Amino acid sequence: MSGKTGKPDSPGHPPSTPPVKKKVKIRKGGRWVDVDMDGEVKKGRFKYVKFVDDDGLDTYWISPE
Amino acid sequence: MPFVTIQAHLAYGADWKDPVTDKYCTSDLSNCIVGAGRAIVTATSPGCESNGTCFAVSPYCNTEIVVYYDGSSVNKSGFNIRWWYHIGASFYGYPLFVLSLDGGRVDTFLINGTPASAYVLRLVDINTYLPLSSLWFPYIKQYQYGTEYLAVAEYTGGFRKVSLYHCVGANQWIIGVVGYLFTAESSPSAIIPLDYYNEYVKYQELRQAFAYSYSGLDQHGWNADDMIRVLRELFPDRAWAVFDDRQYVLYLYNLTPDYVPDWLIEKLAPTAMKVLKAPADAAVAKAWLDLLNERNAQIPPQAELP
Repeated sequence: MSGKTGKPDSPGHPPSTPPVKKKVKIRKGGRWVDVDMDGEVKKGRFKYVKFVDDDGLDTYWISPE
Repeated sequence: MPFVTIQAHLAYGADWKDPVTDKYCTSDLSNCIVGAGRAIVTATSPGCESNGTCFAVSPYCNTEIVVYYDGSSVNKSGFNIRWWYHIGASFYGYPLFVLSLDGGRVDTFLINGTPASAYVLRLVDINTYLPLSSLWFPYIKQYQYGTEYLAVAEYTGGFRKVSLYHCVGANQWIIGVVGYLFTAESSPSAIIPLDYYNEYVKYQELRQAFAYSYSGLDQHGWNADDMIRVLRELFPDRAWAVFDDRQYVLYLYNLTPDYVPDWLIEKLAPTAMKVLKAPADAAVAKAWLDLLNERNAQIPPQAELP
């Protein structure tokens, strides 16, 4: 049974789980930090990794790539 | 904070670059030999453009044309001087301005590598926004006197008192040969296009908080946190950005990176962008972007000249 809906899980399908965010490394404060990436944005020559920073703000950090 | 170094040129005597004819101005600006010359006198009060009183034409070549002193910004990170310069024929290689600094005259010169020289070399067009630089050419204003034209430029620096002197006679300039060096501090900038004339009260409020720009695009302050706090109070419903030049973080308010133009990212090269507030109304963010792009329009300066 699915815990949320009360409906039986479809045969052959595992219970639904939140998508696993890709972890990427960014250079922050002079060291490498793993963050859970929510997306990527390209602006001009630069590519930014989107994640929620420790301050709770949506943050776009320059990608090390 | 980073500092921007600008080299200027002290004006005494005619430079070898100055063509010597029977129409030129002497070095001290008090004995000008210009048969049909004239000086341009500008008003210093806001709003002169709308009622057409910014300019008067004086027959006296040694007329002081501009005294633009933003005393309210003294002891802040910078203030702005708007000047008018001649854009007549063959001004490349010539100094554009003569500044009087508490008694001494300084003739700004086109130094290779500065935005001014880049402009002249057409690497930077008029209307190009140059964040964290000391020179910015916000737009061209064409005022024609005979065959001569004037354009507007802007300087951000740290002088306490500046007067501009100018003498035009058959495209002649006062130029000199003594070098002069000064620096200007770059600071966090608020990026919020304002209309100086229609939003004058807001300008005054910004002035109380941090030095501001007549350009209505970039206002300099002491630190990004203070600027964000002030802007939240003054413009809670507008879109704006603050660039922290110490952390290289671009803070976005009522904006997301989608609305930040690539050219601004190229100029600032922020390490990070942080969304303080996502836009509740896309039109607000779009208006910010449109105004920014409008003031950064790539318009070849000569293309507008007849």
